Amino acid sequence: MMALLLGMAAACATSDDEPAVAEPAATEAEAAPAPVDEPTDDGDAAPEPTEAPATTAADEPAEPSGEPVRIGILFSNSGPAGIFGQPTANIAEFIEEDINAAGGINGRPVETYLADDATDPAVGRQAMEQLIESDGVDVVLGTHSSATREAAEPLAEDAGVLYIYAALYEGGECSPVMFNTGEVPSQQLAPVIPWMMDETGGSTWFLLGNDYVWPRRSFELARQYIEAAGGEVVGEEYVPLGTQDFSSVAQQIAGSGADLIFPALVGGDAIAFETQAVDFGIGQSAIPRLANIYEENVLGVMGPSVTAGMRVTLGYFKEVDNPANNAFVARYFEQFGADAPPHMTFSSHIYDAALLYAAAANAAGTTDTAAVAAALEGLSLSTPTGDISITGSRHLAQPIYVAEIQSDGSQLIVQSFPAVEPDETCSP
Amino acid sequence: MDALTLELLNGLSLFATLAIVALGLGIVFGLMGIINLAHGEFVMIGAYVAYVTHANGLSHWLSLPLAAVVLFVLGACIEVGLIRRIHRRPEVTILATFGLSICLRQAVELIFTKDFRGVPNPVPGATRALGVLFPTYRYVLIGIAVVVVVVTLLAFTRSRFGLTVRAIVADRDLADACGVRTGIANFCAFGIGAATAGIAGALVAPLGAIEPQAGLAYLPGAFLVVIVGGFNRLWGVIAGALVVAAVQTGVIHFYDAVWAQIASLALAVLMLQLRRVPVEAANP
Amino acid sequence: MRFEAHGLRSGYGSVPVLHGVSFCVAQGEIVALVGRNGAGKTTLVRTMIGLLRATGGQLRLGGADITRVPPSRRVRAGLRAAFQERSLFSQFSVGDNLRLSGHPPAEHGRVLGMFGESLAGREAQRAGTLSGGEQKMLAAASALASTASILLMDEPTEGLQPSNVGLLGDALALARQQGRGVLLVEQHLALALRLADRFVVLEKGEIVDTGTAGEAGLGDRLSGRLAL
Repeated sequence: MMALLLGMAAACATSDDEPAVAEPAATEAEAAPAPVDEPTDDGDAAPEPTEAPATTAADEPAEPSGEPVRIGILFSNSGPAGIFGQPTANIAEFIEEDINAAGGINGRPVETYLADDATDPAVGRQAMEQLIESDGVDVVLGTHSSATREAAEPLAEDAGVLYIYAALYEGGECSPVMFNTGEVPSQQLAPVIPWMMDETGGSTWFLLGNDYVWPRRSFELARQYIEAAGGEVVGEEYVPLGTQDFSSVAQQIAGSGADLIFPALVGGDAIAFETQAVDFGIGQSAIPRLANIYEENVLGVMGPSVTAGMRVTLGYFKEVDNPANNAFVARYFEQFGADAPPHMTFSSHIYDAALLYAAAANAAGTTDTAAVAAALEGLSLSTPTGDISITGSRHLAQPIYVAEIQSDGSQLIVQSFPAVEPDETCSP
Repeated sequence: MDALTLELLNGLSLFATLAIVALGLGIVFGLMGIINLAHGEFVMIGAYVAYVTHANGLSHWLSLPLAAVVLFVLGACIEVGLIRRIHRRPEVTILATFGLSICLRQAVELIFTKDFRGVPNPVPGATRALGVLFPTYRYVLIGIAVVVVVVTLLAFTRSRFGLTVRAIVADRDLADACGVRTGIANFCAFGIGAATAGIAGALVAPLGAIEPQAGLAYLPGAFLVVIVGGFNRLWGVIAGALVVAAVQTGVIHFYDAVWAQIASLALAVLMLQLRRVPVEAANP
Repeated sequence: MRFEAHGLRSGYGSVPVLHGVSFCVAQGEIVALVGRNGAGKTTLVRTMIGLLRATGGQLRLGGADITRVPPSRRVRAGLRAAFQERSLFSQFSVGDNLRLSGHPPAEHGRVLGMFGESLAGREAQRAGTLSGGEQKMLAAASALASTASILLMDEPTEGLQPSNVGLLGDALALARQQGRGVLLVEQHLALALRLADRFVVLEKGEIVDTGTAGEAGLGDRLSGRLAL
């Protein structure tokens, strides 16, 4: 099943109108990841690796062999964002299993190397150094804070290691070694804000965020889309990370007369705000929410009495209903247990980033950074997330989903916007 | 007018929260001269006691005494196992309690994982009083916090035990020379300090997220209260919490929460300039 | 019950003050410890009660090694000190000070009556508001009224009116008569010469001379030791 998927992916990679892969490698890699007739043994493993994958196209890809392609995963497994770590660690297993089952990268097996940034940029820089220097990775996939990205990027750039940052972030990154495949605010908001106003009939918004770059950038764009849709921002407030008391803020919201609230709050702050808001009479039932980060653990703690009716806009939910995703999610819980921390947008984007890398490296016939980067531009894939493609700005055009929290606490996809283009520019 | 009433009530609930969270820190610093960097973790563990109580289908109110007992025992064990051996060396206690805070966080993470936890509000909704609607649980919180703080402070200032402990604060050597068993007094003071932190944690649990890192968020506020209130005066916790709550609520009202945080830090710096940390006084 | 110091060393931080001091106080005797300012007398008292850690040597009380025993246990074992300075909790009431020293309220009248009318009935007063001499008397009375068998009195007569010095002397003599041992630290020789059975002279942290009451020329010798 995954082999098929990868085969499709590779096929898409070189399909028609987007002549992204200009190199001759494009033709060679057409059927990648394709199998070799017989497992290459030690002695006669002489044939150059670029040729091997393209030779035959059987139903079953051959077992990859040779020096592994090393995929580094820089993620937050401790510290405040550590809560998102486990799904990513789980998905690293799938990355190895699935890419290897599909024949590996240019016939070579893949291995994943995990490094924890402890939600701390200084540690993140060391972790990046370890991945590059000690583990000798060919690519780094990242899901962590922007602060860690900024601290770690120079190391990747100096070492010429490809760095795919897959976390949702504020946008604006542009580096010769980087691709950014997470949701950016323009994707999460441009289609969803007008939809939300239509859905609810509300037009005045209160924007409440933690005080750092991502909420600020989100609100800057939200304001544009709200005004373009004929709405109005009646309040914009920022609270420090780790805020525990929202009583004064709640009062400002109550006094603002807002029809809608856009909370860009993370983790414990989100839980504190929403649980306190209900008692101040400004819960979801009084003022509907459009959230862009509330994820399952946070929503679960708030409980359905608080969350029922909230809408969340993200690039992935495990509830996304397509056969590939249903099978993928079923397999996830089968492998890691029914009570495993659920697969979610961060782990999903890491998985997609790995598939994108594998497809591009297969298309390029090499793991050389410049060649893979060239192959990545314009690359399209179909994954459990949906149809995704790398844009000219080195970001990802991807589906955006809106989930509505049901009265039993479950999430239901109520709207999806396919192939939402990021409003980004980048030409490194 | 109503807005002002609400803001006063907000300030009052912030005051009550700050006071009960800082109480144990103030007791342990004031009485033992120990800067307990693991105090936030005591609060966090108190919140987990509330979570476990809830998860076992028991009343939230039961979690308050339970948290007090659990944290008293934990605090007493820590005093015997760690603090007692180093308490006359302030710089060592800072490092030791910092290490302890990491251990406690990791231990809680091992038991409960990193996931956020929560307990539902036992009295949801708002109550109309003084012409405004204000969350019922916050009235309860204010009441319980004030009672716990006042009773604890009275116990330390009015009882024979309190006299003993205050004697230790006033002059540890002289107390020693009078035959006061300063070891037992420290044991109790540390245990009681931890117990009040546990109550604080259980009390604020329904208002926010419970997670292993949660303690880190409580520590700065508690320190601010103790710094503002004065190091060696137990009742200073109340004065400190009043000042900090007034400043924060006021600044949030007129500016925003980010400026309120800046104002709090500025206040801490100012108070530290005015009051030298009496480390030598506390540890002759 | 006998108090012994063997080769006692002590000091503040890395600054040594006592360099191997040996002496003893037995029951039923008053030993006067004399020496100039800075000789180490107060350091010796603080080390004996346990507020300063001995860096060498040994302290024994009734035969048991108490060198590493905390002060409160030494007190319960029968040792008691009245300090030269900071001898009271000045912000606490007189009554609270007595309670802390282990005197239940019922005994307060007897303790305060030890120096005639000076302290009588002043239980509720804040100790810090007593005059310097009254504070010394309160500290001395509190120690003397205890059940301790060895008393360490550090400059108890400092600041006392002559009539009260007389009363203190009587109280110390009574303690000896009751079979208690007293270490009397004194800079002023008159009282020491009148009361003490033996004399120990401390100089720069070492015992440089000892004497027994009745020795010829003892007064002059001690005066010489104390003179600048």
